[in-house]
Amino acid sequence: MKDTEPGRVAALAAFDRSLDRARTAPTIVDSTPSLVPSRSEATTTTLCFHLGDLRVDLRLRAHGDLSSLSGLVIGDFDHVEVCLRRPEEHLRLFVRGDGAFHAEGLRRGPLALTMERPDRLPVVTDWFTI
Amino acid sequence: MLAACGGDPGAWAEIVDRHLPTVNRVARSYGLPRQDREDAVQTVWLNLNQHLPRLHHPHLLRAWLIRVTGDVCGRQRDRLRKLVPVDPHRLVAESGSALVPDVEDVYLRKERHAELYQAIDALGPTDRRVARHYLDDSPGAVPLSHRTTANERRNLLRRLRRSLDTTEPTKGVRDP
Repeated sequence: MKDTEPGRVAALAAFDRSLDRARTAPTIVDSTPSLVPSRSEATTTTLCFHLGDLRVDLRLRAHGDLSSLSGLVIGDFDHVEVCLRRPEEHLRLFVRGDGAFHAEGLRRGPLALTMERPDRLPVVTDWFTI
Repeated sequence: MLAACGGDPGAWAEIVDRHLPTVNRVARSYGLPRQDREDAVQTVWLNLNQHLPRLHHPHLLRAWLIRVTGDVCGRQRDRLRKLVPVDPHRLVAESGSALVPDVEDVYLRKERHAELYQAIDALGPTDRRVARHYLDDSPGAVPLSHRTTANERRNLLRRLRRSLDTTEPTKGVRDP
């Protein structure tokens, strides 16, 4: 076996067929932090995902080892459920009536979001790293 | 790939074992710190898992993985490059130029500016001229010592200080 190859355990853990039916919302904006020196200890990354009538804007703020995430679902929906996906971890986020959601204290690593609306196929974003 | 799409973890393990060395090699070529590289490699496999049902040509899988690994690692590298450690003293020095000004700082600076010019307007014509020369920090301005005499500057500073001392203390913070 090739257990010695770095990353094998994480690669095997990535296997998950539960969302094969979901549609993928590709990344249309991915801005890295600004080069301008800042007084703030946090660095902000902006991401935007788009699929059909749904768009998700995300702001990721890194505070040292932890990050926070603020997002806004824009589009035609009465009710939407947003779930934060990490390898071997799913966290349902509270979405306000205007589509805004928030999560903080996030450890570094890969992250994706799923959006579920009644009578629609779930939508998953590309994986990104915080 | 079909077996992996069908939910066979053994088939997925075969894909991982066949292509992980290539993914690691590409990731290492980006010179990322170990933890960032590991995050990037894991992101590649998570993306492959997500896109697997839409990949129809197994012979193109290696090229797909190389491209995605390059994209993910490149993004990670760009992010790290733009995190420029800055000396806090330099931040203070740059607070008036490169940094986006704080609203409160702008307000206080404007208030101090108005107070200073009010004091200058109260000076006599010679001192007023010297003071304006003194405050002229435009890039094309010749050195102050070429525009005013030492005596003029000394008198100006004394009168300006006296004038500022007698100005009614208002809101905001005065320069020390």
